[in-house]
Amino acid sequence: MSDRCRDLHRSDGTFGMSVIIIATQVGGGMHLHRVTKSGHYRSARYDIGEATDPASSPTNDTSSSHVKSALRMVCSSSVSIRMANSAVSSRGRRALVVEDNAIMRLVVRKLMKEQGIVLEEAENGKVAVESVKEGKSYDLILMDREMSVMDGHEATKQLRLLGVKTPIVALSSDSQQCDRDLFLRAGADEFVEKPLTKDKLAGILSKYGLQ
Amino acid sequence: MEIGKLQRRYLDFTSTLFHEGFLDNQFTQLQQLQDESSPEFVLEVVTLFFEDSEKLLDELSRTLDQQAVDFKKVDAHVHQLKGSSASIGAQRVKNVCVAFRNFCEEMNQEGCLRCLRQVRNEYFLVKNKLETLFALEQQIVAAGGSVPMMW
Repeated sequence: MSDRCRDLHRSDGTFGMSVIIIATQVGGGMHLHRVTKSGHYRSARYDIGEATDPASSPTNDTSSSHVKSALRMVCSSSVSIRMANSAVSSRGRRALVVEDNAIMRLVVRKLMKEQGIVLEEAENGKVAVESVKEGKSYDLILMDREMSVMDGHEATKQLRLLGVKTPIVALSSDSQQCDRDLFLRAGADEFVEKPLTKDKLAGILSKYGLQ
Repeated sequence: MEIGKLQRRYLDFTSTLFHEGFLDNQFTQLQQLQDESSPEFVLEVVTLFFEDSEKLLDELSRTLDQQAVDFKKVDAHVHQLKGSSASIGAQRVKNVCVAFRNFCEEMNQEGCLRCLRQVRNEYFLVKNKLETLFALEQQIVAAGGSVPMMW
């Protein structure tokens, strides 16, 4: 349940029950799913046009007026709903892999897809820094060491100087201690030896609460 | 050939590839990532490896053929080849790249040329092995069987 939904519940005294609202867009409509305080699951589908019409009934009317109130409030307020398509499981987790090798990026792409994580890719440190300067944010950054244009050390330093607090996991196949130290001094949180495997990624995601 | 025999042949061949060091655990990782949503994932990655490696080997030949060798450029190419080969589990190719990079650092042209010959040799060996492996997989599927996995 998003924090916004919790806030809605607390801010509206008319809400008489615990509500979890997950809105999904299905064929142009919206599904509201809720769990009542007693633990019962209810769902209702609304066409987009019905969303703000207080008199409308949902397409399959299993909801209570509380849900309709919630829907009107959410649609009319500045609170944004996290809309997802039918594969809701991503929960908005976003990662950035900074890696110049296309084959490695392909493998990481598949690994991340398995975990339901939206992945962006940068072929060198400069592209990664530019992405952040453009306002993009991530839950995890995987940073290769050796890259042309801008290497991993420099990119990590610059990202930290920009105020990026995201965990940065350095990836390298040359695991000499001096390399690890250099990366950690640059601001990386961790150093993992390449190639990235399923288990290593699971460990990283678990450590940073992304699993 | 009967499905069971094809499958045994496939498993024996795969086992040999690992035993002889052509492939390492990273190849198994790729196989484990293959599923219904990406049924040709391994083939996709390996095909990209073939294309990428042959370009790099050509570039390496050209760069090392110069009168004044740009060892930084050579090293950059070897770095890429090392990364690609490690990503697919082509262990012997990767190992030669490690030695190759040392010669680049020493700016040793003779050593680099030796490594180039070795890495080219190892690359074409593993390419041949992988093509045989994929052909066996196709034969099993064509015969109506499923490809057995080592893990």
